[in-house]
Formats: sequence, C-alpha cells, structure tokens
Amino acid sequence: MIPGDGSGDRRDLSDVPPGELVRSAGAGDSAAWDELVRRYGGLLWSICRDHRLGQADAADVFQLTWLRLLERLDTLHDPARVGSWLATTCRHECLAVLRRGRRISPSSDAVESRSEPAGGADVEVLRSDRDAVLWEAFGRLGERCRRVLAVLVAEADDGPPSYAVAAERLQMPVGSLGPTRQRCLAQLRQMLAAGGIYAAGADS
Amino acid sequence: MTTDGDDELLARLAATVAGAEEPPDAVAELARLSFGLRRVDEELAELVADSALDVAPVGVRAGTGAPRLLTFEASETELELQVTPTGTLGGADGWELLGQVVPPGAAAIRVEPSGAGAALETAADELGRFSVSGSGSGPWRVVCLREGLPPLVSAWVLLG
Repeated sequence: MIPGDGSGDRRDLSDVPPGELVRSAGAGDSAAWDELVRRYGGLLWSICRDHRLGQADAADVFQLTWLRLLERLDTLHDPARVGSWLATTCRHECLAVLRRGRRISPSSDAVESRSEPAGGADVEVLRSDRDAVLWEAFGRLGERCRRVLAVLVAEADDGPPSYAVAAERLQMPVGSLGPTRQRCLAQLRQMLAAGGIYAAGADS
Repeated sequence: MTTDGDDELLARLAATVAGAEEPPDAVAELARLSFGLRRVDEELAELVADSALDVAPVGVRAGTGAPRLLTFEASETELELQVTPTGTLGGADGWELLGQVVPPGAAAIRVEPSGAGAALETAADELGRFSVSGSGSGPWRVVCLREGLPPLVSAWVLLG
C-alpha cells in the first residue's frame, strides 16, 4: 500500500482517483490500468485466499476478475466505485469456483472440492467482507492519507506507533502527525459511511 | 488528541493490513499484461447461463466428466458451448468444446487463452457447429468471425 520509489521514467499515478483511472484506462492508457492492478490487487488476492482457494484457483479468479473489468471499462455505472465492483466480482467468481469444484457422491454424500471445503471458511469469508469494505474505503482516500495511515499502521507493530519514527519516514514534523492522523481517519470514516461494496446501489 | 474511535479504526486497518496478502508478482504481472487483450468497439456476448452453477441433480456421479453448458448472448447472436473435461482426474486440465453459433452459419472460430499459449483455431460448418479440444487453466474466450457480420466475442470464462 505504501508507494515505493517509482522508477524515474514511470508516472506516479498513486494520487489519481479511481474513477479517473478507469476513464483513462478506457481511453487506452495502460499506465492507468497498471495503477488499478497495483492499487486493488492486494484486496482481490486476499478475497481469493480468504475463500480458501488454492494458489492455482486464486490465480484464475484473480485474472478473470481483471478481465471482467476490462470488458466493462466503458460501461461501469460508477467508475469511482471500481474497488467495490472488483471486490464483488471477485467474490462472485470465488463462489462460482467453489461451486463448480464440488462433486457430490450419492453413495457416501461425501463432498470433494477442488479447493478447501467452505465449512470452516465461513468465518474467514465474513472477516474478508469486513476487510474488503475497509480496504475499498481506504482505496478512495487521497494518496497522502493512504501513505500516512499505512506508515502509522506499519509502525504500530506491538502497540501504539512511535510518532517519531513515523514522522521521520513520512518526512513530516512530529507535531503535525497527530492532527493529520485525525483528519485522515475522519476521512476514512466518511468513506465508510458513504457506503461501499455491499451497500445498496453498488454496481452489480 | 486522538479519540477512542480513531484508535479503534486504526487498529481495524492494521488488522486488515496484517491479514492482507499481495498477489505473487507473476500473477499481478499477468493481470497488467491482460490490458492488451481488450477488444474495443465490439459487442460482448455475455455469459447468461452456466449449468455448473445449477443445483447438482440427485444421482450425478462424482467425476464422470459430465458436460457443462454455457450460453453467451449478444444482441443478435448467441453462442452455445458444451464443455466436456477430458484427461484423468487430477491430471491435465483438458477439455473438449462443442459449439453452436446462432443464427447458424459458417464461421472462423478462435478459442483464445488469456495467458501464454496459442489460440486454437477451427471452423464452424454451415449449421454453425464446431468442435475443438484443448487444455490449460485460466480464462478463455471464443471469437467467431463471419462474413459480413461483426465478430462475436464471448465473455471470458474458466474452462478447467
């Protein structure tokens, strides 16, 4: 989530809002597409793994989800909510794989599935939903807030983050870190309140 | 001055990040490269039916390789695909496709993988029927090219 040192000849699109990325990609800009994959790839991969898909199935669903977006670049109802759309699509395809993988043997009623059985994964899927909602809202924050919060989270390993270390990483005065943290979390709360993946009105 | 709400929200974010997993580099790379597969200004034949998502009928035996039926619809054309797994259970992801283009007519058929690998090429007869065998996981799509008609491009599907 933390932008790395981009190579000099690659545009840094980390501050471009998702809706604009979708529009640019729709107009043929491959760098915008790359940024979409970079920004939401972790969210989608986590969804796949939370559904207990094996590596191969997860890779298939991951790829299929992005191809679905490719099919819809010009027709997404709400490009700004592409994160929600991707997460919902990914989840749908995960469930489809699980369903297709299930073979029922009439003699023993044993369930064999190509990926792990869903029984114990229910809790994982619920957690995945909450995580996905939070991550998607996080993705709609501006780049500065994403960076600040990501560093604060990274520095909070075993308890409260060291503001001094975080401030140094962010190259900010320590004194402004507190108010910035507060402002960014308020924005994150706004994003959550504005509704996300499973809210009514999200793209189907 | 931080509020308890802020602490909690940050903790939730930390938990989400802790549980997050980035895709393997090769997987992310493939997703980036798939941008080149976009076909613009062509109508997409959407997947409208997939028998594999129907409730399994009682008595269906495990692993018999029963065919899967897929239906793709565009505004004036349709593609029906019957997918039969081939190869041994747990072995190669082989499949045989039996296709029907509607309205019926001769066509050049390309079955395209999204990843590495060559497309499979065949032809539909005057009744719009074709068959082709292939293997490989990952998303595939079918493109039907007919004289005097726009290409029929199916949605991507996982065949394996």
